[in-house]
Amino acid sequence: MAREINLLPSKKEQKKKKNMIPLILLVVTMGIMGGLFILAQILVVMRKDTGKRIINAQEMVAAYKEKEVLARLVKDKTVGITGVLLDRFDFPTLFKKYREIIPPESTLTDLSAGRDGRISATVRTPSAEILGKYFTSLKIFKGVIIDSISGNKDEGYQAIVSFNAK
Amino acid sequence: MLNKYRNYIIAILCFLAVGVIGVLVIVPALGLVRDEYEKLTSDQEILRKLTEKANKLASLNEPEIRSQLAIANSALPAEKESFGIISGLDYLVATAGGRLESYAFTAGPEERILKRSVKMAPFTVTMSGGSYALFDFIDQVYKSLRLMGVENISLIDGVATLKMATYYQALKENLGEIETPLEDLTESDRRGITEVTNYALVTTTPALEPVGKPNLFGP
Repeated sequence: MAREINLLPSKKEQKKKKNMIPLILLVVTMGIMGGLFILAQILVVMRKDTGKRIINAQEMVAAYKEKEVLARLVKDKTVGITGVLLDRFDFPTLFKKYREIIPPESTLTDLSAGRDGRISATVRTPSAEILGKYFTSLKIFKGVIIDSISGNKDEGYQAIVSFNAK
Repeated sequence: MLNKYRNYIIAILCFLAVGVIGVLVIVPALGLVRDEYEKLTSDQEILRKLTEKANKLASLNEPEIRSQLAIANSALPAEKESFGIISGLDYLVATAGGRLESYAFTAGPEERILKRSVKMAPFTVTMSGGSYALFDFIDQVYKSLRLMGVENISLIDGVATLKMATYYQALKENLGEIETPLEDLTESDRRGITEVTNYALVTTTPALEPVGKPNLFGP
């Protein structure tokens, strides 16, 4: 005769399982709390250790205080120097270029120049040809304006010219 | 009836208890853990900066820094040092073949401030000697180790009036926080210091007056 096997849990077992739920919840809660406590303790210990290492590192840095002062001063000064070098208008290069184009027979009598790069120059030349040569050479600059030309063959010529050096 | 729902009531009560514990204990505990973690991260960052700085300081070549600072201080001193500039200008004008006619320093509000609190102190120079003396003078001014600049120039009948400027940088009063990192010299900083290293130091040593005595301090 075939024997019946009941695969469903018995009522007793079901009741037992239901009774386990609160217990599991409590264990999980306690586990989380315990885990958090342990984690917090680990972090506290790590912080204490880091604190000690910070103090050591601070002592090391403090031992090099003099070197630090020097290094910082050098940095400030070099940045300052570079700033000044960039801020200065390069008059020497400008005048070097300008000097090369002034004909040797002529004389530069008046000049005005500013850091905006606008130059105005008065040049005296003995002849019109030399004056023409000077005007041609001025083409290396931008915005050349001949403000005035005066003079004659006997006394020579005078020209006031302005241009942009930038 | 109560017996019938006993298990459900216990389960609900357990959930409630867990909820209350969660709100009253776990959430604050989580907050504490998070705070501790944040503090630890911040401490570790400070430690990293300090260690990096200590290593960098240890590797710095002190004689090299001192020599760079000596040059930088001559180029950009902490004070205006107007007297030194005046005597230097006299020398530069004479070397350029001109003559220093007058100079005037204007202090105070006219001073311009550049990068890293570098102050620009304006002054005016009047010199005679013509255009070539003027050009040579400007050339030498720009090659002088003590940094000076020219703002504008006016040359009339051989007499030039120059609006010039000298630069200085006051010393800092403190170094700030200990963990503040050291700034490295950039390529442009190195170029700047190398450039001024090639400039001439204009010194004017006063000539010794002959007094007719071999020992000046003798009787």
